[in-house]
Amino acid sequence: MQRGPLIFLGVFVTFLFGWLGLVFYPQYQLNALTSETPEGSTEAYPRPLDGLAGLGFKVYIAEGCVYCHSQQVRAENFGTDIARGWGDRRSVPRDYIYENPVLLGTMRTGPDLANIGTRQTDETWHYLHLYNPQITSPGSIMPPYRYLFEERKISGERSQNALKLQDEWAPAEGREVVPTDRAKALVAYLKAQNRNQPLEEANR
Amino acid sequence: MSADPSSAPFLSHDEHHEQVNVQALHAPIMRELAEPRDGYEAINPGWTIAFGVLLFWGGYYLSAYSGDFRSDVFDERRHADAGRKAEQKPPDPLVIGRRTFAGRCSNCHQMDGNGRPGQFPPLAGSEWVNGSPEILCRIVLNGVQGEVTARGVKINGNMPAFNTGPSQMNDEQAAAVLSYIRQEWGNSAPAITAEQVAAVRKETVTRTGPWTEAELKALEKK
Repeated sequence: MQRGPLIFLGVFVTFLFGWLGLVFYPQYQLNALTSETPEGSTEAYPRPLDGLAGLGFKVYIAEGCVYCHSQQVRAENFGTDIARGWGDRRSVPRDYIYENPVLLGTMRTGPDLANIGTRQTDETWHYLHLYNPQITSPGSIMPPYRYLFEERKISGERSQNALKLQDEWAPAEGREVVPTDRAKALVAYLKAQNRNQPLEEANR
Repeated sequence: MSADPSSAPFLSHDEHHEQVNVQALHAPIMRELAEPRDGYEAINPGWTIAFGVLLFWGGYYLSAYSGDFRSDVFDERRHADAGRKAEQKPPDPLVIGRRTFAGRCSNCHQMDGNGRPGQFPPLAGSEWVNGSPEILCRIVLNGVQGEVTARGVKINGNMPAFNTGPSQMNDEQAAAVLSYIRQEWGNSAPAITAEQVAAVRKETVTRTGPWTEAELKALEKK
């Protein structure tokens, strides 16, 4: 090779340029983002997930929800996300500063979940939907997550959190279906998904 | 050169009978291009113009859609659309209503407004939706619990309140979504205004729990 050093320098500069533009400069611009208190609110946003919702984050990853559900609302002039009611505003980097890994998702086999906590606040709906999506959303292609629930014999009184399953979904006489701790954590996580707080930069 | 190789004078007796085709022999050499030369050659002026235009367009595009290279500007059309945005009309309440319905209501009541038998009551053709605006506002603001009959179907449901919590609606949103459900799926009740919602919100400000069917029916008689 006659021009080894020159070729090395060319390759090095090419990769350096990419690294500066795609890694270094975004870090420099966005790394210092902090929570903000939106106008008319007394609570800082965003806040780290705590308690049960924090555990649900791990269940969400473990069950692979991210393969079919995204968590990003695109701008109004770039798709139908807002028209579908998936959020009141577009998502911005500040929404994700406490998440690691950030579960933006790449596929939308199912609907976006960036604001599922505002779109469905009812716990019982979430439990029924996870147990079998056909109960609440007929025709859905989402698989049932029955293994997040326990079917057991009713001893004494029926459990308070047992699912109200009807008709073809109902368990056998004298038995009940209750959510496991993993299901409770996952539902707590879903209910905490709220990225609708007004941030000024979302309009820019 | 004659086309007949047999007439070539320099072939020996043996070669003469091998029928050598000189043209075929030279064909690979003829296919090769001219040897490259050192130094520069003038390019076609058409290319100069084409690349010039491309560079100009690139520069224009970068300045129009760069968002000033700021990390807190996300709309790449900020400059390009600046004029158009200013003259945007206020959004149609029915569009807002459909949006809000799709996001907050359709999980249970479904986009076709028919609900789910035994689970979620229908809105299409429902006497509640097409009935008194005051009662409808109360249902959305505080929710309903217990048995409810709509369109002849009895359902034991649990509708959440929309005047508080993460899915709360402001007066405009509630008015838009109620107007939407009153005019969709063949329903044809008059629209509900934000003022009507605000008035009901004021009246029910002290109420915390959801309504029951009996309470709402009692209001109807008044």
